[in-house]
Amino acid sequence: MTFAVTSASEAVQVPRFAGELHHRVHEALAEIVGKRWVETDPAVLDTHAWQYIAEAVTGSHYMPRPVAIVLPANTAEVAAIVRLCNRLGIQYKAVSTAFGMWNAPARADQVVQIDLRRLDRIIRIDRDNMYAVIEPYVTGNQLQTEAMKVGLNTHIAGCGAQCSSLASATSMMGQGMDGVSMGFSNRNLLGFEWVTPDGEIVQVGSFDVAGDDFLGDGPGFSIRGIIRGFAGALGGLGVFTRAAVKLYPWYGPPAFEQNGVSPYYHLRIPDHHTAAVLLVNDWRGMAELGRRIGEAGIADHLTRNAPSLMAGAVTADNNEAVEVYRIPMLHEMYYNLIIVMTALHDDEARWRRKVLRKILSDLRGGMLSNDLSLGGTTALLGFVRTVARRIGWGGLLKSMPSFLKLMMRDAERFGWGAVPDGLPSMMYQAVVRAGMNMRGVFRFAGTFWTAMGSLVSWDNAIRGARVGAQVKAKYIRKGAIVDDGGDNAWGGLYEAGAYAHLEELCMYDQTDPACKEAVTEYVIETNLACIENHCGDSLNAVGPTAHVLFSPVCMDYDKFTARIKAEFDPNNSAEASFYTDPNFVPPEGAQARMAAVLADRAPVSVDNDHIPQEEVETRRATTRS
Amino acid sequence: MPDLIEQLHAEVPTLEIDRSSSLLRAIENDASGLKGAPPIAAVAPTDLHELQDLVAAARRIGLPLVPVSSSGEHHRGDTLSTRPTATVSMRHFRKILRVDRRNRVALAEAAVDFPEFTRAVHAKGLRPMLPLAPRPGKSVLGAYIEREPTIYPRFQWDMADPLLCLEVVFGTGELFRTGSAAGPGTIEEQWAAGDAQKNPMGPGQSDLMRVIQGAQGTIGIATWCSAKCEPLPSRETLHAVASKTIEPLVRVAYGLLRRNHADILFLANGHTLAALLASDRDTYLRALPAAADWYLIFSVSDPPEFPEDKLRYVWREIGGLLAAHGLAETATLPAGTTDSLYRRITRPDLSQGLPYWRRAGLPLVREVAFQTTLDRAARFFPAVEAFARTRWASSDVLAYVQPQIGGRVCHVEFDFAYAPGPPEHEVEREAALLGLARELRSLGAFFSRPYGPVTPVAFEKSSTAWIVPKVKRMFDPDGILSPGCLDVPERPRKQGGAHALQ
Repeated sequence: MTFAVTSASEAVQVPRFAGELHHRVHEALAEIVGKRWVETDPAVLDTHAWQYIAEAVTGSHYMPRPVAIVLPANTAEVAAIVRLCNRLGIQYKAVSTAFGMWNAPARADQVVQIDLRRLDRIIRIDRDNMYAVIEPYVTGNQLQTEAMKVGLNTHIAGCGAQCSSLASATSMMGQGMDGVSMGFSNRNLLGFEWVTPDGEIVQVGSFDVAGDDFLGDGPGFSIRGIIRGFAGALGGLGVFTRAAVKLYPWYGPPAFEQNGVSPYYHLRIPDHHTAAVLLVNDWRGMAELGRRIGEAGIADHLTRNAPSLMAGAVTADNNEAVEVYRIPMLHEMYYNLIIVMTALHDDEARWRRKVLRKILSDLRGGMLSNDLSLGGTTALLGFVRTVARRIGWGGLLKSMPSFLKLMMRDAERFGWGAVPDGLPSMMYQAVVRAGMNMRGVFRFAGTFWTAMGSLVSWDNAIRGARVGAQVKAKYIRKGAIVDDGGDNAWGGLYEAGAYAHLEELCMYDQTDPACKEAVTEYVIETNLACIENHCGDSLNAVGPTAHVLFSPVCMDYDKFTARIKAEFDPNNSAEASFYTDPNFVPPEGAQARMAAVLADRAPVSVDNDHIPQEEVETRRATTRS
Repeated sequence: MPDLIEQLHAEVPTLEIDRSSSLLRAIENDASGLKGAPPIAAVAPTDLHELQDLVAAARRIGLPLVPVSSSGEHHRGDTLSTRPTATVSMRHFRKILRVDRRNRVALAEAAVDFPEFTRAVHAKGLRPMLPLAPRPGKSVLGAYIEREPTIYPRFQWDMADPLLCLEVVFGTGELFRTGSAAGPGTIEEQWAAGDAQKNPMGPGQSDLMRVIQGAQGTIGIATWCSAKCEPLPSRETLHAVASKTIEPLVRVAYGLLRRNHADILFLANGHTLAALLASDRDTYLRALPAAADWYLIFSVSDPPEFPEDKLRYVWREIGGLLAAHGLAETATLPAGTTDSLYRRITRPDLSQGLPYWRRAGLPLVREVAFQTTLDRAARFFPAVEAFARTRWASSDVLAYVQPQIGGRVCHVEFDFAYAPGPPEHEVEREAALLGLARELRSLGAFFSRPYGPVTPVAFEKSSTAWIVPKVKRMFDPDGILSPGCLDVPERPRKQGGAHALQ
């Protein structure tokens, strides 16, 4: 798999655990945190080893076991554990909410897992200056719940509201459906506390003089550039124990009105808020739609979901999802964006809706929304016409019985009052609370992987989505992955459309060796396609295996990251299997696998017809000059 | 030292080298009143390859280099050196490589200044993110790479903005491009694929742009940058609110920032506004008596669609905000109007004949600037007022408060303009300014961009000080770049660390 690691250097530097050393580690850890907070029971260790896409490294659902799990209570204990590992010549890896194989060690019995769940406080929310100071185990959901009480909101990464906000900001990635108004996790980080790889506690930014973390840049250059890039070090460069993250205005109630029973909920869309599925006719329309909404500054959440993903997100089981996905109208809703617009009052809501309708009208598109005004109804007709252009009026008619059935089901669950805004309400919940991200991707086949997804211009992100879908079609034809229509690009725009991402999701059965093998090849092949078609450095460009591909075509970036690692972690104490390794040796069979991929490449043909022609001409002229 | 220049000439024969004494004398001083070691030459590479050759040769022969992108007089001491160096003038790097309206971005080489940049991006329907009336000759890249605040907090999502991607030659001689400019593909191939060097992050798992930015030229020499621009609105109006104290203005500013109603937004005292609008010292002094103590300056722009619908509620909200704090708009400003101020701060291309405002008509100026939050800004004023009264012997202090990152933090700046005096006064002045910096720091001032004598003050209490020399070494192992800048001594680590293993 792309992330699989075997490092000759690490094998030499890090001794395997002997019984005596094991005992010493256990005793020493207990001295730091107390016996209660050190765990070596294999059954408990395996609860940490069970990880999403563990099969990429081990072939099973489990990552290698850590030697022990230790639960420090504070930063001083974290630093003491890190210094202990440095002294003993062993490695450590910190986790907070721990979503994915990156959080676990890649080798068994050599790594102390530092579980940060006792550091779980929201230290403060500064309403005027719009930031929160948090500890590692604060989730997006918790922070959002508290922030909304004082009229603020927080960026929640695509991994979902159950994940740590601090981990996303300091150590992981940070795409999300609120990016258009709340950015990317990297860029939401202010000041922070860092236990360096060898155990020194530093306060990065303003804290040392101001006693507060309002800024993380300086004095002088910014250490934020050392600790992370588009992705973080994924545990490979010390431990982050406190961070300030930006918050954003929230023009909604302190809590939502919600009814229903898990997994079926209906949420009343707050006054002056709009939730809508926007539909246009082709990729060119999509390019314009995203660009114009970004520039207009009307959207709080803006995300693209392919029909299959939408069917997964709005339903609670696979039978229901397939039923929805088969509705001709939904099945063909490829050129869509889901939008949520909040507003302080009715005048603002009306202006935002009017602008949105104008953009859609210019693009011959429409929307299905909770806006039941005359304008909203006109836009709904535009939506219907847009669908009809794609599937014909016959297809539309065929969709009606299934739609009626869905409405009846909503009425049974939540009452007839909930029917008119049933779908918008579902979208609103999914997007604003980020609580349904995972059910759209895990449920179909067991797990999923993703590809492409570079942070680039919206035009280039669409290009990447089109490339990714063509590569994926080959694996669908082989029957190795779920047939989700091929194009299952999820993503959105960031910072008012300044940049964007679309990643090509791929759902598969992780218990089937043939599927696992095929998905490995899918990731390799999309990485190659990303490079060949100049679609940026993929979101899979993390860890030594990916750096082998991407670094040489991206200014040898890994050489510099490796320099940082060597300088700050001379003992290689922070487990860096998903970060950088200057002595990386590709895993056994990697060359053969690459050869297999190269021998059977998916045909990819992509042009820029989604970009208006005059723009392309300007670019060519500029390039020549 | 002169033989180093001969060696350099032998190594890079095509390199333009100027050793004329008048030029070198000009480089030795700047308008802060600080003095550096006399430079031994000024060199001007003509392209990237020559720059790489220069850095490689400088490493070989041990010639320190001080990169300079801006022209004209400098004001912060950041281009002065503690030892004899060659000044690297980037004046041949003056192309605007691209202005991309669709993606709201422009690429400019190191020596492109704000007037030229503004003209170019305006022509494509964009506006640049401007610092407050940058001085003549100030390089766009030079301002952005130093994290100079811009007057548009609404459009600043991150402290690094509006800087996006950079091309840089590190002190090692290695070439690098940051963010999405790194690849895959050449810049031209990326353009052809619809990309636009808009993502400042990465490549990979570090952000070297953030390490180059704020480093005062100690990490590498940048040749071009991509910079965020925003659409030029069809109409933008500037507004001013005056007050005896800053506190109510801060509350209004918070309201405007939270609602994203204002594009331009900053606070300034009467001295600053008078200096911005006056054409000379006399006009400035004549304007002061009528000036209010504090002003909030903000602009409101027409959105591209249905402006009348939006402006109706925007102005209703602004009216309510002002009334709630007992404030009202004022049309008159010291030495000008809101219209003249708008022109002054948004059109550097039309303001080239005006004097640099920070000097308030005097030959020299010392700037003391730091970061804090808006609600804390006022706590620093009594110390500065006392300092001006007792140690500076003049209340003629320019104060400027610039919200950043949408208002989450602010840049607070005090400018002390002065005329040169006898040498013994210089020592006294330096000691006094250092004392002020220490006092401000004790009150919580975060000197995130420390220059010259303030540098040790900024790092005295910083737990990250030890990281500075370590990182500088990674990218400039021979210490040839901007010696004396960000000069933080190596010191033993406080705890833990590799030594614990021995």
